Amino acid sequence: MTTTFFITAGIYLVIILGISVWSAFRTADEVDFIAAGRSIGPVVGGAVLAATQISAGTFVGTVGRHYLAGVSWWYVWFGVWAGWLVSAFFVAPKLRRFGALTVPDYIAVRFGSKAAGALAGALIVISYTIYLVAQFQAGGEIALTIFGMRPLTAMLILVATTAAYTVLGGVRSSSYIEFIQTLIMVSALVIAVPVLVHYAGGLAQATQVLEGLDPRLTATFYGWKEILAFSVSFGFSIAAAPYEMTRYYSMRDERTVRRAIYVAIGFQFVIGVSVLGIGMLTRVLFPSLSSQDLASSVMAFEVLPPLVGALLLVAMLSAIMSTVNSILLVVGAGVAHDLYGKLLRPAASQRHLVLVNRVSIFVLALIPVYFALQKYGDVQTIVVEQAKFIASFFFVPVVIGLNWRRGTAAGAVTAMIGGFLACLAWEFTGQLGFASHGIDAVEVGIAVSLVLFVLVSRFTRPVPNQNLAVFFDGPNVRR
Amino acid sequence: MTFPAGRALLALLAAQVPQATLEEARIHIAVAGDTARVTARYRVIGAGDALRFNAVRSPSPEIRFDQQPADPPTTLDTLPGLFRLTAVAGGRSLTLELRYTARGDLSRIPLFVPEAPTQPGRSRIAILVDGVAPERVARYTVPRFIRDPDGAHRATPDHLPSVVALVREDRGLPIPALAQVSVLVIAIGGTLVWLGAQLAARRRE
Repeated sequence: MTTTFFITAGIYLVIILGISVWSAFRTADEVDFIAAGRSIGPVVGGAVLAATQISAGTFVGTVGRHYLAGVSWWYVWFGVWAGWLVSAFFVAPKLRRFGALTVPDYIAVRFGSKAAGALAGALIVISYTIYLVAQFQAGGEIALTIFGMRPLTAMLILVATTAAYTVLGGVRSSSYIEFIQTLIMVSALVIAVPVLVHYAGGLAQATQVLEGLDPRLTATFYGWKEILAFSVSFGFSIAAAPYEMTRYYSMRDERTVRRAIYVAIGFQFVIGVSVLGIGMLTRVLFPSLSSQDLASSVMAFEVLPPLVGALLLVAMLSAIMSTVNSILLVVGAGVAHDLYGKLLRPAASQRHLVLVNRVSIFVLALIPVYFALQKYGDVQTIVVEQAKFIASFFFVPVVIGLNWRRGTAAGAVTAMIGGFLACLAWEFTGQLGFASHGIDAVEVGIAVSLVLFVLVSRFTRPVPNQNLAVFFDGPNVRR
Repeated sequence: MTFPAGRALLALLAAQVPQATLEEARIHIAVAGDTARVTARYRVIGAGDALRFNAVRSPSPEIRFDQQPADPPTTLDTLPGLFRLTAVAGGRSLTLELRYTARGDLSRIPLFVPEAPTQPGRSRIAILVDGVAPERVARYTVPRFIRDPDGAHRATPDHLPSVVALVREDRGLPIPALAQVSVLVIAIGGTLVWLGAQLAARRRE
């Protein structure tokens, strides 16, 4: 099995490094690096969006949640898809029409404030460092389970490989690599499910076993308050997720972006159903694992035929790498483009900015490794936490800001800071009583952010019309 | 930095997760024709007052206990898809030996799995199956077995599975083999489609 895995993983790495080198020769300037020359079509774009969102959280965390909690975690997908649809109709077309390189660019122009853009950049870097922790932790879990490899070694290999192909080719190489990654993920999952059904003795048998183990596995392990909180966290964060929005900028036009989102939802539906099956069927075959995060790697290693298992492990690594790659692109751009290029050295040359971007990607990739080694919680819990923060500080300025002219810079800044702090404060206080009142930190964060945005905007000077024209005055205005 | 919300939730979930640890499980399965005699010996530490062992219950193979264990005292419940054996542990470590016979379709021989996870690296699981003629051995097995020189099959998985799938099915589609082939078909087919698309695009340019 390990030999098969190494051969499969070797072939995969040769392919992605080949694409990266090819892309490096075609990357001439910052637009090429961050937005792939705005050349990505709907199918590749949809696969990219799906791959970016399908992460270690899905392969390790979500499979683990289905293993532990059964079918009820699946309802969270509806929140995810609602978030995508909000993005498709209210966010993506306007952002793509605007055509900026990064999301803080949008914040800075929409609200006429470089400070607001810089604040957005800083908050993105903080939140995505948390997200990277989950990805690295998952990579460490898989390496430990399968190869007995020390998590630190596995994480450093992961950082080196992903940062290398991110640094080489930027978004162009990432887009083509993620297209391949999505195909690998979907194929591996779809092939794995019938094998598990076979070993579990059929679906009817598996259902009876699960009901016997714990009747809640086939019904409602989570109540509606928990499902609502998880759905709000994922849905509201995806509607305004900077790493997804950065990918919109790389697509040809607004129509392509919207079609790509539909393609992404299709891919995610298949992945979501497969992951549900894998988590629950693994519970039938290995009912007493010490941690739910082990479910996917144990299943790939112990149950699936060698080639299918190896493909699934490569798919898991692909998922981690694609998400790490997307996040590194966003945080690298946040530091180089939004903080360094806009605030520190506005006169920096294109070559200089690309260099700063590449160096910051390597440095920012290493910081979460330390936190991942501390294991603060299971993978899915960490993913949910970062989603809460993103939703709390970004949903209102992005989604409401794109659809309400009256929003001002002061409103956006207070909404971001207030939402972030309210979410953080509730996590340490009110969240502990969630079981009784059912109010989650993300709901508090979004509510505070919205109230501050509306109130402060009402009492502060409106943004000049020249800033708003590209977002509110129809599709003819292009940059 | 901590994640109180996550920890509160984990604490809620942890109540569902058994705290006992399966320290050792030694399973011997002797196959003869359509009968498998299973001898399973478990040692669990921190078992609490009682510990449940679950086994998949299906129409075939049919499971019969040679003798229900009396030390420690056990009770057996028959649920729609599951056998549940509850052993009185008295808050201490538990050693339990089960002997039962599975008769019928041996392509999935059920094992009793305690509600106590293994600790990889510290727990020892050993499964030995003998009496299976080479032509009856499935191409892909759960867990992964190694064939001894004397013809027995030995597996030492990190986690205890609920079934042993070593004996080939007499009929039906060989799903794992089909899955294995489909990976190759998708990989080769995908590469050809990709190359075709690239060539077509180059011609258009």
